[in-house]
Amino acid sequence: MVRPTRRGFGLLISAVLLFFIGTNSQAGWLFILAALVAGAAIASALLSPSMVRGLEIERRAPEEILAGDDVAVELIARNTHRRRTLLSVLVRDRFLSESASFIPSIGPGEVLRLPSLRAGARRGIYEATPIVLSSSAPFGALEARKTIPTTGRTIVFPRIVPIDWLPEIASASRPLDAASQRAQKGIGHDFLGVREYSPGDSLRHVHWPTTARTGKVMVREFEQEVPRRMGIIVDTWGDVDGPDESALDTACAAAASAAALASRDQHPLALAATIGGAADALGDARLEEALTWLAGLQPQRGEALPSTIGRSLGALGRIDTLIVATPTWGPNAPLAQALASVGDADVQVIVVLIEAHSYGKSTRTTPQLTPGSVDALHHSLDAIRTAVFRVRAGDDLALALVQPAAA
Amino acid sequence: MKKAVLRKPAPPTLKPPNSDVADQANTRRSGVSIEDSVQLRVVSLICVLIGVAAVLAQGVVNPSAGLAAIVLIPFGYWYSHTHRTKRNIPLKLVLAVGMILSLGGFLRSMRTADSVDEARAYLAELFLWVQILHSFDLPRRKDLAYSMASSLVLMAAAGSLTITATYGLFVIAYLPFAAAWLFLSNRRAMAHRATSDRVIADSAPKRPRGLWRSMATVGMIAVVLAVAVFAFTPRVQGIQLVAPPFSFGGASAAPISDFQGQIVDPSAAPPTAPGETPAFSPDAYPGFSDQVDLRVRGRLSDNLVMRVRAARPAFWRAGAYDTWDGTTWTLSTQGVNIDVGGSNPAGIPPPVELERHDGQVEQLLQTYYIESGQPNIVFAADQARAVYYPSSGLKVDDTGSIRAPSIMQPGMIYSVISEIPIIGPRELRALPPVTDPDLLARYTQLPPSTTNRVKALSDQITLGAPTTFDKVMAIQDWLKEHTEYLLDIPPDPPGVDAVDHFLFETRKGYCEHFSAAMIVLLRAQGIPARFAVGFDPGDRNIFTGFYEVKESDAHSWVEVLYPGAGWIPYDPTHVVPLAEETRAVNFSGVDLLPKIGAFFSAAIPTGVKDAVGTTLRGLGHTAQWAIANWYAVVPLALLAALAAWALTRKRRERRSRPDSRVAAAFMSMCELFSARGLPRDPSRTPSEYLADLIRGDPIAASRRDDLRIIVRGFERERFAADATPDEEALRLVEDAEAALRRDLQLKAGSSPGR
Repeated sequence: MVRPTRRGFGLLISAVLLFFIGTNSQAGWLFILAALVAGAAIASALLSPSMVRGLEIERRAPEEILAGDDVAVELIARNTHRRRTLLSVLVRDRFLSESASFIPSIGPGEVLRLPSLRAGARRGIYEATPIVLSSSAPFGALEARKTIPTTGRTIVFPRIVPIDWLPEIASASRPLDAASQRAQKGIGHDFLGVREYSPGDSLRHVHWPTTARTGKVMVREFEQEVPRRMGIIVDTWGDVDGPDESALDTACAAAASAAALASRDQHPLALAATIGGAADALGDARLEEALTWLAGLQPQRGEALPSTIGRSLGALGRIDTLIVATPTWGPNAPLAQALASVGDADVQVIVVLIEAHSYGKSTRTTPQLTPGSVDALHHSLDAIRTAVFRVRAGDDLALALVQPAAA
Repeated sequence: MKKAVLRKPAPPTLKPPNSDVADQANTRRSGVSIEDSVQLRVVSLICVLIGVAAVLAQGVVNPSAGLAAIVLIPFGYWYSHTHRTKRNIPLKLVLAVGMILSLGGFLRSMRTADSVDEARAYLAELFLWVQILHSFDLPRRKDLAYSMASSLVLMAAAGSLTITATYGLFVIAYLPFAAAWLFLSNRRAMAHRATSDRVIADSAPKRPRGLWRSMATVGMIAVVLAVAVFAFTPRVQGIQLVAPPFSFGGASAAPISDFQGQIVDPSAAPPTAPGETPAFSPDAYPGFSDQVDLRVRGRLSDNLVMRVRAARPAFWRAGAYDTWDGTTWTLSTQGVNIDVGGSNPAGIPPPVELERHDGQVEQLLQTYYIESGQPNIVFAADQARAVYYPSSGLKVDDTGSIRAPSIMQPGMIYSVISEIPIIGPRELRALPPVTDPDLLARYTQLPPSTTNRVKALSDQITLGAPTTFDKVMAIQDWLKEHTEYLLDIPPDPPGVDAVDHFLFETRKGYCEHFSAAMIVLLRAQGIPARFAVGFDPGDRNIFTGFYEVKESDAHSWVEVLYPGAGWIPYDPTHVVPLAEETRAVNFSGVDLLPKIGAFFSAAIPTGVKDAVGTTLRGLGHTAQWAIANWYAVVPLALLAALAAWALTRKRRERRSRPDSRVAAAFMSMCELFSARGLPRDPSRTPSEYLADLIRGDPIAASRRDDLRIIVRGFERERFAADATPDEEALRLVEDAEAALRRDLQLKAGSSPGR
C-alpha cells in the first residue's frame, strides 16, 4: 500500500511552480530545476515500495507473563535480497502495546534484532497481530507500507498479589489452612482409634499397649485428611477502566491471588463465571489453567451476578469455601439475598467488592452502586456472616486482602 | 521438540546507537520538536550558501548584501543550533524588526525601478536578507525545511537571471546536497516516529558497501528520471504577466547623430569606390546596410552576437530588399521611415491591407541580450507588433525593418512581441494570385540583365504547378536538388548576372545566391517576392533556453506575398518551410536528444562508428533479403523460435533444480503442500509461505517445528553471511523433511481445513 506524503505534494507543487515561472520568463534553467525536483519526487515514489519488499520480520515474545510486567519483545528483521540495501524502514508492532522500531539501513542478507520493552501489559490473551513495515525512503515523497502476518500468542495472566492467608477464614470455625476433618478412616495425622490388625497394615502402626492388653495384634487407626474445596466466582457482567487497570482486571487479580493461595496449600479449586447466559466453570483446575481461564475473561452483558449465582454454584460442584470477586455494579444490590442460602449450606463465603465508582463514572449501560449503596451492600453481607473485603482503584490489593473491611 | 538450531549464531554486535531516535529525549520544548542533528543543519547551510553564491554570481544584487549573507548566515546557523532549546523571544523581536526593515528597503528600491525586470534584482536582494534573518531562528526541522525552500527560491532567482551555462556549476554543486537533505530529513522524520532505538546486528551484510551503492543507485535513478522529465517538458509560450525586460544593462547609449532611420554599422568594412566590389569584415554581415552585393566574398566569424530568449525558433529579421539589379539588392523606398512613438512598448504599425495576415497568428515574445557591438537594427521575428526598448525614437520602414537611434552596445536588452502567421499549405493554395499593379510593379521587378534562359528555366520548373504556393514549392525543391551550398566560391566574373551565373554556371553558392535565384525565378512567374536578411535562430542552449546567435548565423531568405496572408518566409538554403509551422507544442527533448546524440557521436571513436555503421548496413541488407524471401524466412524463423523456447524451458528447469540438500528439502516441502492445494506464490518469501502454511493447513500447524527447521535452514543457507551448513544441520533438515513427508503420506486424503 502506498500513500503520498505532504512532502511529495510539496515537491510536485514546487516543480509545477518552477515550470510555470520558467515558461513565463522563458528561463531554461528553471525547467532544469523543475525537472530535478520532479525527478526526485518520482524517484522517491518509485523506490519507496522496494524498501519494504523482501524484508522479513519475525516476533519473539514470551508465551506467558503476568499483568503489569514489562515484556521484552524482540523483532528479528532479515533482508532477503542478495544485492539490495534497504533504507529507513519503520517497523510498527501493536502486539501487547504500541511499539515502533527504526531501521536506518539493512544490508543484503543482514539480520537485525530489534529489542523493545512493552511496558505494563494488561490481562488478556493476545493473539499475534500483523507487523506493519513502512518506508518513505529515499526522499519522503511517498510512504509505502507492507503488512506482515505473524503467528503465536502471549497470555497475560492476572497479577497475583502475595497473600499468606485469608484472616477471616483463619478465625472461622474451620480454618482454611487446616484440613477439614471427617470421620473417615485413612492415612492422616490425627488419631481416630485402634482396630485389629489386617494384612497390609504397617507394623509401625501397631498399638503395642492394646495388643498386650487384648492379646491380639491391634493397630492404630488415623483420621483421613480431606482438603477443603475452594470455589471462586468472578463477576463478568461489566467493566470500567481505572487509572492502572479495569475493575474486572482487579476482580481477576483477586481471584488469581486466591487461586495461588489455594494452589500453595493444595486445596482443590474450581472457578466459574457467567458467560453468554450460561455458567462457564473450570473444575479441579491447576493454577496455570486457572490463570489462563482468568486471563481470557471478558466483560459479558446479560444477567447480573445475583440472578446467575445459583447456576455458577451448580457448575462449581461441592465446595467448602466460596470467594466471590465482583465489582459493585448497580444490579448487584441484592447480592446478600442471593448468597444467604449459600451460607446456610455450611459454605464459608468471602466477597471481594471492587468499588466500581472509584474506577470510573457510572454509565447507562454499566450502572454502578453509589458509595452509600456499597456500604449498604456491605452491611447486608455482614448480616449473613459473610467476610467482605473492599478494594478501591489504586489500592494495594495485597493490603486490601489482609483484613476484612469493617461494615 | 526438536530445536531449530542449525548453526551457532554469530556473536551479536551492537550497531552504533541510533542517534536519530536517541536524540528524541532532548528534542522537545513545550510541544515544539527541536532538531538536534548537526549533519542536517550543515547540509542545509551548504545548500543556502550555494543559493546565495548563485545569486551573487549574477551580479545584480548589492555586494554588501552578498557579503553580509556569506558572513552572517553561517553565524546564524551556529547561533540557531546552540540556542535551539531556548525560547529566544528578544531575538525573535529583533528578527521581526529586521524583516520589516528589509521589506521597507525593498519597497523603497522598487520606487526607483524602471521595469519589473529590474525589480527581480531587488527581489533577489530581499530574499537574501530574509535568508540572513531566518538563519538565526532555526530550532526545528520544519524551520530547516523552510530554509531549504528558501535556498531553492534563491537558486530559481539566479536561474531566471542568468544567461550563461556557468550557472550549471551551481546546480551541480546544489544537487547532491539537496538530495542529501531530502534523504537525511526524511530519515530523521521516520526515526522520530520510533519508540525504540536499539538495533542489534546478528549477521553482517553480504555486501558491506551496499549502503553507498544503494545511495548511488538512488541518485542515478533520480537524475535519469529528471532527464526524462526534462526531455518531456513542454516548451510553450507563457502568459505575459509583466513587461518583458529592456535596458541598457550598464552600457552607455551611443546615439546616432542626425538619425533619420538610416542603418549605421560600426563594424562594417569601410566603403569602397563606386563600381568596385565592397570590402568584407568578418564581424559585420554586409546585408545589414542599405544594400546586399552578391559579389562580396568572405567568411563571417563565430563571435557571439546576441542571446535570444524565445519559446520557439524564428528568423531574427533585420529587414528586406525589393530591388535587384543583377548583382545587388537595394530598397526602393529608402528614407520612408515612420516614428513609432516614445513610450514602451513602441507599437509597430501593421502592414498595408494586402500585405497583412488576417488569419490566426501566434504571439512570440523575444528578448534580445546583446553580446557584441551591432548596427542600430532592432532584430525581431516577423511580424513585430510591439518593441520594449530602453530609449525612444525608433523608426520602422515599409518592409517592417526597425531601426534604433543608437548603436547596439554589449549588455543592452530589448524585447519584441511578434505575431507569426499560422497558415498551412491548404490555405495558401486556396489564395488567389496578387493582382495589385503597384505591388506587382515593386515586387516582380527584374533587371535587364535577367536572361531568357533564367525565365525559361522558371517556366520549366513551374510547369504543371497550378497555384502560387505550388510554384514556390517547385522552385524551392528544384534549388534543393540541383544546387549545392558552398561558402568558399570564387568571385563572379565581371559583368555577369549573379543569378544567371549561379543557375547555369556554378550551381554552387550560399544563402544570398539561393535566395536571389529563388526570387528571380518567382518574379519571372509574376509572383511578388523580396529578399529578407537577418539571423537564423542560432543554437539553442538546452540549459539556459537561450538561442545563441553568432556572426556566422547571419542569413538571407525569401519572403513571398500572398494576398490576405502577408509575407510568408521561405528558406531555399535549408528548405525550412516556416509557412507550414503550426502551433504544435515543443518539447525540451527535441533539443536534448540531438545534443546527446552529438555528444556520443563525438565521444565514440571513428572505428567503432564505422563498425556500427557497417553492421547496421549489413542488417539492413539482410532485412531486405529476408523480406524478398519471406516464404523461406518465415518457417525458419518459426523453427528458431520453437527451438529457443524449448531451450529456455530446459534451462529454466535446470535452474529450478535444487542446488543443495537444504534447497532440495525446502523444494520437497513446497511440492508436498502444493499437492495439498497450498502452492507457494513466487512473490512470497519462505517465511511468509511458512506462516501461510501454518495458518492454512492443520498438518502444517501440527508439524510447525519441522517446517521451521526446513525453512530457517534454507534461509540461513541462502542469506546468512556464513552460508555453508554443517553435516549435523543438514541431517536435521533432512530428518525434518522425511518426518513431514511420512506424516503427509499417512494423512493423505485429508484436506487443509480452513
